[in-house]
Amino acid sequence: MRMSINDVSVTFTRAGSTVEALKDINLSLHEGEFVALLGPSGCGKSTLLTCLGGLMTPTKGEIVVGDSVVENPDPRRAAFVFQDYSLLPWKNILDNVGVGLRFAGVGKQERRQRSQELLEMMGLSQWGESHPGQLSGGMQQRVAVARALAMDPSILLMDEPFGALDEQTRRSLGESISTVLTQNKQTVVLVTHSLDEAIYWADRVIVMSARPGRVMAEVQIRQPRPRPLEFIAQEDFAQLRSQLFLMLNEAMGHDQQANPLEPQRA
Amino acid sequence: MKEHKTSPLVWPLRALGLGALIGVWAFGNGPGGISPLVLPTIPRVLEALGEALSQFSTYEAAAITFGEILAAFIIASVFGLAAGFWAARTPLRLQVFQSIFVWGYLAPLILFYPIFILSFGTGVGSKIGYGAVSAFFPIAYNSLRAFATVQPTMLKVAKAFGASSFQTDFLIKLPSALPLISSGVRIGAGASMITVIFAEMLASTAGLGYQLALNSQTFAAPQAFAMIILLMALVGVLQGLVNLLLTPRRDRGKIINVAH
Ligand SMILES: Nc1ncnc2c1ncn2[C@@H]1O[C@H](COP(=O)(O)OP(=O)(O)OP(=O)(O)O)[C@@H](O)[C@H]1O
Ligand SMILES: [Mg+2]
Repeated sequence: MRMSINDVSVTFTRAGSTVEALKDINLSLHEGEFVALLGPSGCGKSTLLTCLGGLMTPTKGEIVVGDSVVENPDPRRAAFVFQDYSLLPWKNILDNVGVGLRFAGVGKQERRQRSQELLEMMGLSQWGESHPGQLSGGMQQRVAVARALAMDPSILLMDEPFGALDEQTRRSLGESISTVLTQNKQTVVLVTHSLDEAIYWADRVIVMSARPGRVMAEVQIRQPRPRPLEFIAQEDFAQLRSQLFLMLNEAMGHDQQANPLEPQRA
Repeated sequence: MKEHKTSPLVWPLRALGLGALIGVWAFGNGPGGISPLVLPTIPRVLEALGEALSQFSTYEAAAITFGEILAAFIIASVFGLAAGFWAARTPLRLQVFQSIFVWGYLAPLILFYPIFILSFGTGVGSKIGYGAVSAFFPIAYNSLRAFATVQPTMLKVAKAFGASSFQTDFLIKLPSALPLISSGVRIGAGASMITVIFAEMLASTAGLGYQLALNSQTFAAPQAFAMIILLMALVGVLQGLVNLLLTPRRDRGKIINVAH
């Protein structure tokens, strides 16, 4: 589904002081588009994603999906994959995948069947009866992706979903999930700190400036999806990478000393 | 979570411990030279135990004590859980009730026992009332902490995946609060056992605790020791029941270390 972000600004007020997190964001995403958000730490990427999913209302402006304004969370419109381990530890994997369906009142039979299909798609079919603690971090995040996809959402919102994983795991996960997402024709917004991840996955990379976050630049990646792993070794990839590296460096305020690939974490 | 198979050494080691206890006891009786008025000999105690077990009144007394503890524990669990859940719902209530529950948890409630006697008499009612009040506070306090410290991520998941507020309470908050609630319930179970037995010993007309107090006041040491053994067995049974209640079905038969 088409999504447009119109003049969105977010200001936080806490104990008298205000923080301007986002300022006048305008973006539109067409159906099935995969957009990656890159930007310095604290520039408001998570805040923007939270607004897109209806978990927060922008201070100013609005978000329109299809032809309705986003006001509340609705997992069938936009489903989240969170960064931190967010599976319910007391439920088995199958029930974790089906938790959104459970909330929506879908019957047990149907829920289990749908969850099992998604686990198969994610290559985890034999893990349905296990509990999250028994799975590796990478497997848990695949379950989190399955949980979001179970809602058959028009939009998938991913906030550094593989941030806690090592490079190797990220790559192989990236390849398998990328295929699934392309097949599902979901519109995807991915927040990431990894240039490689952004270029490898996205149709368009948006670079945001340091706080208050604004859209500073965007880069189209024309290579058709899903992309083979070899894409990472190609000339185009290297070129896009250095282009984005410079933009990100600029976004951080021209500080030549700072390394944009290792953003300071709050 | 770490799982172990029960080691084959566990039971032999336990038997060894029991053997050591009996050894020390026998030593005390013989070469130790402890007066049989204080420490009766093992055969005398076993004799008294057999005698007690052959009398119907012993079972009656055990049933009374068991019933009092069970009633106190159930009342405390229901009200403690409800109070903890209710008090954790707003920041104001949380601040107000957290300190009240802590106070009730740590205060020597025995000071108030005379009030229970005055209001409920020396019968079963005062034991249940006193036991329930003592067990209420640890259960309420732990439940309050449990509900107040549900991980924000879990609540975010609930909201993002469209849980209603009822679903958030029962499918997210309750299960994620459960480990902490069960440790409160365990403490509450212990508290209700201790206080009920103690209350029986202090002022009552029936129950195993009453028998124990009676026997020790009349210097019937073997009989008193028999009562102690019966009370230990009763407490063991109750603890077993609580364990069964608090161990999730899938974890039964395993020993589990849960890191909190
Ligand atoms: N609930 C809140 N109350 C007050 N300030 C907030 C709140 N949430 C975020 N902020 C502030 O808004 C700014 C943007 O935060 P946000 O988490 O969106 O950044 P981010 O781009 O996701 O950063 P990171 O890359 O480190 O995840 C930060 O300065 C943060 O301190
Ligand atoms: Mg963030």
